[in-house]
Amino acid sequence: MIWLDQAMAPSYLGFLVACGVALLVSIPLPISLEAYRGVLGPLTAPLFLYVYPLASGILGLNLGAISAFREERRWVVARLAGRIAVANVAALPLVVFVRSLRPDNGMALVLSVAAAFLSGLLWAVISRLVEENRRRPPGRRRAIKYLAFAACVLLPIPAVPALSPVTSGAGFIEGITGGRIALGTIVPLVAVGVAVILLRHRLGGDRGG
Amino acid sequence: MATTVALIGVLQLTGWASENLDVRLAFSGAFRAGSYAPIDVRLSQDLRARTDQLRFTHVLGDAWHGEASFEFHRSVASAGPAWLCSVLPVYDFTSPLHIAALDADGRVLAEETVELRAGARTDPLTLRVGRFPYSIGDDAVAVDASSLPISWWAYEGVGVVWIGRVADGLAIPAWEAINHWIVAGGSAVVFTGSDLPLIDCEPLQSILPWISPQVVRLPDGTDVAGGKLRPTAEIVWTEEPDIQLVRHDLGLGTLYAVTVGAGRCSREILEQIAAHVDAAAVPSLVAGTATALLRTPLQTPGHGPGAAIVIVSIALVAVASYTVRRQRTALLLVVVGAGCAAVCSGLAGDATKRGIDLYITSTVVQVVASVGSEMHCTGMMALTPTAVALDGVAPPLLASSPRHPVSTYIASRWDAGRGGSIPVGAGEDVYATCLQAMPARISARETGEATLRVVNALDSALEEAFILRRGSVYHFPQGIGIGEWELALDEGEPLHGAEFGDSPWRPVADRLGAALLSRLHVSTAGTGRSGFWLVGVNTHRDVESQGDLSRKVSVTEVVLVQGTSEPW
Repeated sequence: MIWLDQAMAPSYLGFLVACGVALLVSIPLPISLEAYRGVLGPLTAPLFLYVYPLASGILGLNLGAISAFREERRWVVARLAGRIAVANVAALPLVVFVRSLRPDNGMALVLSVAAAFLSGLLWAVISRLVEENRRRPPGRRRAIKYLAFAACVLLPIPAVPALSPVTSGAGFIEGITGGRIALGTIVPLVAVGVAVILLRHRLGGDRGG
Repeated sequence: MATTVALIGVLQLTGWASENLDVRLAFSGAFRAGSYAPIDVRLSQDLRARTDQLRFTHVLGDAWHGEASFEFHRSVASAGPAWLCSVLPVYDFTSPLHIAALDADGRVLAEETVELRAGARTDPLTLRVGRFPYSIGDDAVAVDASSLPISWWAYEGVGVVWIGRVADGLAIPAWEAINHWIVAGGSAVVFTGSDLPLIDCEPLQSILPWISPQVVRLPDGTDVAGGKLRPTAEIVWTEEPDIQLVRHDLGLGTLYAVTVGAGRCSREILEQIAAHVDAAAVPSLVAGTATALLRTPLQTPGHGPGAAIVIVSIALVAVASYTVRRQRTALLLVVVGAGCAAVCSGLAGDATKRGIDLYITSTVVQVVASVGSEMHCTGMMALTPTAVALDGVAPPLLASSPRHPVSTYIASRWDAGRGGSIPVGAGEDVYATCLQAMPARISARETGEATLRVVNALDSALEEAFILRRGSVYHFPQGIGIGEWELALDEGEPLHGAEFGDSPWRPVADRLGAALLSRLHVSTAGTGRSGFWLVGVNTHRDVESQGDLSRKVSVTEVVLVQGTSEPW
């Protein structure tokens, strides 16, 4: 089973670079409290928590496409989940560092990691599903999945922020509630389940899971 | 039908309750909005026997500016004076104040609602205690001497207290409260002469402008008070040889003594006296504390360790992807490497280096003259929403951030003797002030042209000290320990208003603010009244951890001791 190779490296590195830049931006400058209040005051959760699940979703889209290109048909979901997990393990030092910025709620970070992992896995499976339809040209397939991703990221923000990968992680920092846990982790989990069933059906009885 | 019966029952209960609970605002129903106000509550004998505590609840603000409630509890003893006096901050006169008598289980036995709007004033109150032949201005509030509050901060909204002929005198605790208030910046006018024997007592003697006051009867039958003036007193106005207004600067405030009784003064004389009297100005420490708090640099884990962690993570994946052929080895490299990096990351952000969530800057000013008065101001700024517990602090008067008027109203709950907590939102700075009384446990006295004796009986030494005298500031960086000390004034720097340059006095002056410094009555040119001030400064800075949260605490204590050249 392939976890890391040169084909997947740009996706992993892009994910880590995005998270790394977000982490560095999240660290407040050693300015006065007055300047801090004026510049960053309204943003209560570190930027990292917004970018991390978003980058994880984009990583999933890329890994799903690579899986389809390689025509992997056995243990597809397990491979995708493993690769998303590898990326999250690589990002673990960053998550631990973020805890020093917001030390008040370790459980919120754990839930954020879970939400990011589920986001990555969900979009990896969806990407694989979309790429499986070879009758559509590659450009249209790419457009469909990225537009769907953008819609799922942006549309829930004004109405149900916890459903968007971007705001679900930051939502935990504002307060862990049953509703946020349900919308930020259980809904993606159910969506992953549905996507996996569709993928198994699509792969025609092969061991897609 | 059942609803009607229940409603009648509730109405009957309310009527019964209000008959047992009598509430009055102490200054004849008047108070200054945004200040402390004394509130007296009387319980019927039966109710008092069953009451464990009184609960004061005040809903503040409105839906537009934000709503919050202030709740204060005070315990009730079964015996004691008929009227229970409490002093509460009244932020908002538009909504009523609710008072409830609770039993030991917290059940409401009786309750009363007080409408505040009618008594609210925007200007400081002028109080008139005792008999006067003519009115003092149009707005003066007549107050019965027996209802004067015994906590000095109850006078926070008062401009001047006029004390005329009081047949039964003032109670000693009431005088003590007035003394503390004057030391903190208050202003009182006392008529002496024939009225002095009625009100004469030890607390009054200690603040009168004469060292040993005596009343002399003139040939025309007028009783006139007089004696040797204290060094910090001066005659500011003379109408006739026997009618004088003597000003005595006491702490940050002033006591004015009229040499004759109130009955001897005509309307014109009262108007002349009023024209020479400065109103009270208890200084606010909010501005100085806010400046110090907002200048505090943000303490963060630093970009260096963060960048190192990011580079290590990227390097691990790059090396594993591009150079390692065996998948198991590549996976092992990433997992083990990331695990080690995570441990290092955790160490880098440990308790001593992690970002501070809460910044607390406190200013404590103790003014010591005949008595001591203490003012606290605690500024808090949180990076994440939190509730800040201020243990051992009396119910505070909360002020908003000067730059955030919308956040004026802050929900808080204060239990008498148990302190309370103040919720502080993310990126919000909140200031809580409280006022207290304390005994005068430090004194300074001139022993020669350039020598002083300081007796320090405070709990701790003063880390740094200054003497302000005759337009100069003298610095004692070694401070003043506990005990008795002789200080020699060798070389001072001139006091040039706010332009202190790099003088060590400058940060102290900034913290106290120009308004407070002007109350010290220390002439910058050295031509002011005699007298001097000892200024002691203690600073304390610490990073405290409470669970996962870290708070950076900075406390500056300033002790202002009014010196004297009177003999021991």
